[in-house]
Amino acid sequence: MSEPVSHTRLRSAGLRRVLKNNLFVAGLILIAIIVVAAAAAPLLTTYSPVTLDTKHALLHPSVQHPFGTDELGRDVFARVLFGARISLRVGGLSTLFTALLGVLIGLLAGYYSPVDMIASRLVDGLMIFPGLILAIMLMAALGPSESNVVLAMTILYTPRIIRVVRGSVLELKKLDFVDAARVVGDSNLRILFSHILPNTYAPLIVQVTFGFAWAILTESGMSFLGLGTPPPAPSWGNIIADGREFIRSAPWLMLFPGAAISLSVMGLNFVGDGLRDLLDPRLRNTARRIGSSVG
Amino acid sequence: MTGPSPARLLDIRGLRTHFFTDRGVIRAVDSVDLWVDREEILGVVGESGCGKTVMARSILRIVQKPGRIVGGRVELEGIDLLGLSEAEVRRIRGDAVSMVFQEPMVSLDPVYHVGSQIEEVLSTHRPAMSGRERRQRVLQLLRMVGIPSPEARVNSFPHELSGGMRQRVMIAIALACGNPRLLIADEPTTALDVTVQAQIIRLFQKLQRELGMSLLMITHDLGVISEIADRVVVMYAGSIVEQASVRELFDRPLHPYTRALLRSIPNRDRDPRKSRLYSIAGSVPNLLDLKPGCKFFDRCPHAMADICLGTEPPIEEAEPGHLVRCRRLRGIQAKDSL
Repeated sequence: MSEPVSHTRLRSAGLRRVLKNNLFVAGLILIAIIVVAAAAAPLLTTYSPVTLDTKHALLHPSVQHPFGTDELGRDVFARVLFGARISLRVGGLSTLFTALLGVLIGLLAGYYSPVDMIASRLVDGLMIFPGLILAIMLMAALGPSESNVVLAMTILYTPRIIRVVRGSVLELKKLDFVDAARVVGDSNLRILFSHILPNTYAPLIVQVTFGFAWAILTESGMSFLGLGTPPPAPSWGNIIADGREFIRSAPWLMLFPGAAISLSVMGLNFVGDGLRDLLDPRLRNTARRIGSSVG
Repeated sequence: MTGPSPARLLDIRGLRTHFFTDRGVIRAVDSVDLWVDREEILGVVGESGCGKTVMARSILRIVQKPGRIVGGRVELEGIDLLGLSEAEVRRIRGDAVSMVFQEPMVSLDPVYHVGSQIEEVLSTHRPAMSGRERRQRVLQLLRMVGIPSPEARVNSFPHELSGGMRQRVMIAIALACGNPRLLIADEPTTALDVTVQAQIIRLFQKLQRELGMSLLMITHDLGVISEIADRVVVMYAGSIVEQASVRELFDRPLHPYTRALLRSIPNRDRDPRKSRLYSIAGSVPNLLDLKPGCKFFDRCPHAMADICLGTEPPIEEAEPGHLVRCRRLRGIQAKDSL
């Protein structure tokens, strides 16, 4: 009958809507390029990001060195490529930990008010500080290393996720379908994890995407200040910090890693904005209702 | 049914559910006594805010904060549900006793197919069932509640279904385990179109007969009650003011509140241009500052301060099986016979 037809139409309507969101698609492509470049870094360049070659220091961008070389003769293209690995790794890991911690604490805080009392006060306490200042404090205390950067980011961004999840849970737990689940014998944990959690995914995914962008930016900022990934590892922030002294004579030292940061943060923000539009339940429902033939 | 079991399925005695708010204690359910017999349809009527829903939620112990059941017994087949542990009540919910809510639009989880929401109940209560059996059962249930082409509908999301269809799915979920003894329906048709309302009411009737279960139907729609209920309980401000068989109640309402409710039904025989629709003066009293005495005092045409105030009138048997909570009853009956 008409059922299978309406289902395929529904799916293609959803896909069309995704593709029509130009910024979202552009963001996805940007991110895809950066991820592929980072993954394939050894294939894209023959230079090592750390080997010194002082004879060829501060060369202009050329066919040989597309992004030029720095004051120690290291190929900037190679450094930016390998730097992408660090930025994505730090960003990805801290986003992962943030999401796991934030979801767990946010769910419990939204559902059980005693947990909320404690968790929300801690969240308030952490959110009082401007992000970068707290990051600097943490890194000064922990000492610069890649894993400490991930730790600091996780501490910094988890409160935001907690707030988003907690807010959704507070709203969701009053809805009838939660009662309906209880009425058929579901336990609290079951209700929390299999009914409330999936309904928080939309705002959560959006927030996590922005968190990823924020983590990349903050990691660069901290590395620039010498508090992030320790040199000589090529983090985007490190490369910019190294090139600072040569901004007049060799601006490419800052231009290319700067562009890499801007593009990846922009790409992630496009994706985040796009997801926000695409996951908006009201918009989604209208699209589905148009797409399906239910009378 | 199996064995010689007593007629009474559910027996509620002295149930009190209070809400502890910042402004004081609201006695939403105030010493309610009520019973449901096996295979009986009991209607509970009353205006919004009179405690019907809280009473129903108390049976399954799903009263929301700041509400709390503070006293009484809710016996299902002789077992006091209020004395059970949370885990024991969970085993009863959705199996022996289920509930269908007022708003089918928000009673289903928006992120799951309706089929998997029905399956979930089965995996909670019938863990021994295989996946295949469960899916078979889901289709059978969808057919039972009258959903067309169930094979296609199993994979529908709630928002793809109309209100009536969603309410049918809710009923399927409530009855999924196959051995319901009591189904509580909390204004199940209020949010639906009139034409759909009739279909759903007929579905309830059909299922009640087929499954031999009891039905506790909460509604403020007296038309619905007159159509399906065997017996009616009238609630006002947290108390039961009158209960009788449906015929008795509609033919000879005794409590002034019941009479007022019945008079407020639009009547097609009357010319609307000549007679205005009757409405009960005032509204349900603020439960925070109730005067001691009859709760209907302020709105009652027969109220007499020296008789009605002071203590709450007791509920008394006016006729066999016809209970009324009114001290002015004799006076009102005398006036009727004039």
